[in-house]
Amino acid sequence: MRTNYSPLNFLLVPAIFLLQFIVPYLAPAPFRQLNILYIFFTWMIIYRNKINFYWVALILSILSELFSSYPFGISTLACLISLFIAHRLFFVVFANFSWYSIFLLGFLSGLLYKIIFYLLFFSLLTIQHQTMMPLLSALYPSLYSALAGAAAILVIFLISKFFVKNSYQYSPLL
Amino acid sequence: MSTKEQKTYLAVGSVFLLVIIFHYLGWLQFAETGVQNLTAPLLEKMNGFSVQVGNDFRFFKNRSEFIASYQQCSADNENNSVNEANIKLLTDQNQELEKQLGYFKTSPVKHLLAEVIGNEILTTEQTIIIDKGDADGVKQNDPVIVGNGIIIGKIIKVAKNISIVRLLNDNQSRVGATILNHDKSIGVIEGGYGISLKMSLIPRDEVIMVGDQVVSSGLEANTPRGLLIGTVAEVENEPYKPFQQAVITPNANLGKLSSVSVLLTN
Repeated sequence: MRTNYSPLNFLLVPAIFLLQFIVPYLAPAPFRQLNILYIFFTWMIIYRNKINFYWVALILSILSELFSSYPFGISTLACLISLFIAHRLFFVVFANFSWYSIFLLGFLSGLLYKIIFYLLFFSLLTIQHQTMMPLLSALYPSLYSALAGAAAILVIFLISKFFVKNSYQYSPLL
Repeated sequence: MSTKEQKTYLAVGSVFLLVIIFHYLGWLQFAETGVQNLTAPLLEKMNGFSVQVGNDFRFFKNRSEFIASYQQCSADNENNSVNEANIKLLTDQNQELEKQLGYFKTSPVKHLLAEVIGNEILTTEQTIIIDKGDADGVKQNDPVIVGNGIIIGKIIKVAKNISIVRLLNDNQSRVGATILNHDKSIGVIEGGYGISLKMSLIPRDEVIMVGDQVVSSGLEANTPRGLLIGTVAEVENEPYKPFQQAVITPNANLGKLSSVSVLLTN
C-alpha cells in the first residue's frame, strides 16, 4: 500500500473528532450509541494495516478525554489495548475479509474496549475505596453499543466493496 | 512482531505515559483549556440545533400527520412563522430564567447561571457539559437545578471553563431524599432506569402514596434540603423484603436542558 501524506491527511483528525460530536447530537435515539471514533479506528485496522494508526488513535482519544467525566487516561488506555488485540485478532486469527469476520471484529473490538474500560475504571475505584455501581448495569448498554458499531462497520465495508475494486487493498487518505 | 512494530508500540506507549504524567502535574492545562475553549461554542450550537430537531421530529409520527403538518407549516410561513418561532423561543427562555430567579430571591444560597453546551460522548452515561468551570467558582459535588428549585444533578468533574454534570437518571447517581408524606420517609434516589428514578431503602412500615412529592433530604454535604426531585409514580412493597421502593417521575425534563443554575454550596 502506498503512503500518501497529502495536506488532507492533517484535516482528517479534526474532522473525525468533530464528527464524533455531531452524530450523537443529531442522530435519532438508537444511533446515539455509536462510538464514531472507535468505528473509525476499527476501519483503519481493516483497510490500512499500517502501524501508524496507533498515533491517530492516541491523538483522537486524548482529545475526547477532555470532554469526559471519567479519570483522564482510562479511555485512551482501553482504546489502545483493545485496538492492539483487535489488530492481532483480525490479521492472525481471522485472516480474511469476509463480511462475517468484519462484523465479528467490529463487535468483539467494541465489546473489548468497553470491558477493558470498565475494568480499568472499577480498579481505580477500588484503589480509591469509592462506591461502585453494578457491573452488569454498565455492560448491558455496552453490548448494544458494540452491536451498533459492528453493524456500522459492516455497512461501511459492504458499501466500499461495492464501489471499490479489491477493497482489501483500499488505501484512503492516510 | 517486526522491529518497526515494536518501536511504534514503544513510542506510542511512551508518549501516552508522558501525556498522563504531564496532565496530572498540570503542565498540559493551557493546551487542554485552549481545545475546550475552541470546541465549546461549536458544541453549544450543535446541542441547541439537536434539541430543536428532536422537538420537530416528535410531531411527525406518521405520513398523513407529516403531510398535514407540512401543509400547515407552509401556510404559516407566509405569515412570518419564523419570526413567531424566534419570539416563542425567547419567551420560553425568559420564563425559565424568571423561574430560576424567583427561586433565588427566597434562597440565600449563592448560585451561578450556566448554559448546557453538550453531552457526554464516550459512554452511555447521562451527563451534560455546562459552560462554567473552576474559573467561575464551580466545585465538585455542587448541586445543579432548573426552574423553581428542581434539582437535576450534581457536578462530577470541573475544568477551568467547563464542568460535567451527572444527571439524576444516570446509573451512578445517588441522592439522599425525603418524601413529603406523613412519615417524612427518607431514602436514596438512584438513576439507571431510563427516564424514571427509584427511591430505595424506605422503611416498610411507612406509608407512601402515589402522587407524594419527593425533595432532597439535606443529609448530604453541599445539597440543601427541599430541592424538588419528582413525584411518586408507583410503590413497590413486597412482604419478604426489609425495605420498600418507589418509582419516581422527575419534575424536570432531563433530556431537554438548555439553561441551568449551579448552587455554589461547596
